[in-house]
Amino acid sequence: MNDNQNAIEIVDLWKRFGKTSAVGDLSMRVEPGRVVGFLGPNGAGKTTTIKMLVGLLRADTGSVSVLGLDPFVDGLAVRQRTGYVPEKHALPRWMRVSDAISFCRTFYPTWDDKLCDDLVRLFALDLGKKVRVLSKGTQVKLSLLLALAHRPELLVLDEPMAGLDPLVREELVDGILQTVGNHPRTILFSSHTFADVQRLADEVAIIHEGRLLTQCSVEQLLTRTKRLRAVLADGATPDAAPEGTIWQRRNRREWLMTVREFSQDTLERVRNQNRLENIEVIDLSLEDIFKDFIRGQRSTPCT
Amino acid sequence: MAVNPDSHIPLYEQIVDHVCGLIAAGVYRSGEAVPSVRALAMELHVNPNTIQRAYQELERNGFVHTRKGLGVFVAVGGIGSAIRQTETTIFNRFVDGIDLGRKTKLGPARIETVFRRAMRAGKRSPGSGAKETRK
Amino acid sequence: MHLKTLLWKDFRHQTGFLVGAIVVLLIPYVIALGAYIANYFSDQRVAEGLRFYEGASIADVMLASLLVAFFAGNAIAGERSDGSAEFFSYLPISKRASALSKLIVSLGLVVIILTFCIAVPFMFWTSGSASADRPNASEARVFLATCAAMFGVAWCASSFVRSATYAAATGLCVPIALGVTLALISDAGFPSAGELYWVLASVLGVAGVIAGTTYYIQRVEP
Repeated sequence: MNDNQNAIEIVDLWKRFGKTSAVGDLSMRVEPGRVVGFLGPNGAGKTTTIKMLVGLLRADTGSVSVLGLDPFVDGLAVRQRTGYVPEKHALPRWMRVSDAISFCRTFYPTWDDKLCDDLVRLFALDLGKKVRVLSKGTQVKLSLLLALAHRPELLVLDEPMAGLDPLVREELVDGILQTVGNHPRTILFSSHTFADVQRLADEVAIIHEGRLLTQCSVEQLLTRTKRLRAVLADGATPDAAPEGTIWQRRNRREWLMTVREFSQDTLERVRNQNRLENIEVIDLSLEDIFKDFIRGQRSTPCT
Repeated sequence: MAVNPDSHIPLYEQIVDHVCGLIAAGVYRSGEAVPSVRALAMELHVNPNTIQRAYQELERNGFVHTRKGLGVFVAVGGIGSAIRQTETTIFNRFVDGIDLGRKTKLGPARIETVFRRAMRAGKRSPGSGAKETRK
Repeated sequence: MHLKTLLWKDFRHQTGFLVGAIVVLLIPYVIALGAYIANYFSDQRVAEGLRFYEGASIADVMLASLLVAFFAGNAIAGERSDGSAEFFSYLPISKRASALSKLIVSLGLVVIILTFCIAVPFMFWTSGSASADRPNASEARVFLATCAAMFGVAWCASSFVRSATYAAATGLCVPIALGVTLALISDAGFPSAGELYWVLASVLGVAGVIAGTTYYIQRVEP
């Protein structure tokens, strides 16, 4: 794979289960070397998309390219170069930790024994224990170790931190950070924990009902998305919301709107086009912005 | 030190402010090395790219400079710049406080009285000890 | 092909069933021992105490043919029910290698168990002390064809379903249904139908293995 090729390239992807389309008209690309947080409410299509990336599901229409390969046709090659940690870690319950490691080791030519040992130490894994007696957090750590130890070019994580206590989450974040930049070069992870997304991700991609709402850097999203809180003058009705509004709500005289690409111009325009008593600009956290995106879609779909 | 990932302030900005504060406080002297990108990334549990971004910003503003292969060091005049930057941070915090006062119609004279009281309290007990609890 | 590692894994997967099989096969001997002891102390003692063990060994042969279905049924479906199939599906393991390993392990275990079980009554038959006659070629054919059919059908079912017991049950029922049907047809006036059994059962067995393997290799869902 050459450096110019995107790590992941999805074009016009559709996947239906029965009558509902889990993923519809999805297009997104992940450049090599980026860490992308994949955000969306439950049922938005994150897991379905991720499964199509590792070749566990076949797309109905559209194309998926991972490290330049089709994950359905060249599944073996894609899986050799990708590390995958799914939501449900289905490790064989009869295997010991050491068994699982030596089993997986066989199938990856790029397995790094030293890195594996380092991760065993970092995660404090007991090699002799069987999977069935491991706690949930330890199972996740083992799954992550197995995904990282072969130095994949791409790491794909499906809600890895779900249901884990904060200490284990920090250990997992550290495990991922230890390898960032070298191998894997590119990471795609879906999560509901915004703190983890902030720590790890360069970019976020927000998906809703199978469609991509936005994909941009975390920094851009935080600095350029603002909420405006305007109080309308008595008897005044609001004009149209400014361009780039992702969500708005009016409660009597209070008019809230969240605007992307906010600038002083936006503020002036709102002030001039409406009769307002006052207006203030509110900074938003990543979680706030995400919620506004989703709420905005639910009240006015397909904006 | 820890960063706050739930804040509306991007992490790289928090790191810029923090390192700047340390330089202004004299924790890192002129020419001294600041923690490497990887070391700070592991300490703060943050993507190294974010640290890199912060250091680039610090370099752009003249607080630090990178010596290839050797690390990141406090720039000549970096301490002075950091102190001026801290002045800006303090200014902004004052703006927040005054804004709150104006919204609740305290009046400039009363706001200034509160300010002087805070200055005196700060002299007696530095840090959070000077803060008043709600009555 | 990393076949050795896969063989180890598939053997370990069948360990539980292997232990169960050994226990099941010991039961007739335990019963025989009990009968032997009861006979020893009874008034109407039977002279040839060894008869009991001979009976147990023949029972074992019957049981072994049923166990065939369980090993085949567990081979693929068993991993789905315990969840590990999904784990293996996202490792870079070729489906062909995976299918081959499972086939070798389950077929190997079946052959070993059948051989052991047949060896015991065989000793009785060759030593001349057997009360029952050695089975003739026709009976042997029917027996082996039934084993083949049970394996093949259970294997095929195993590749489709998510439960090892469902697959095993299918493997047991289909050949029995076939046998009973042909027997009834034979009684109803078509005696040649009975002769057909071993042919059809063998074909069923082979077809089951081919169909199951082919489907397993091309299936995307773990």
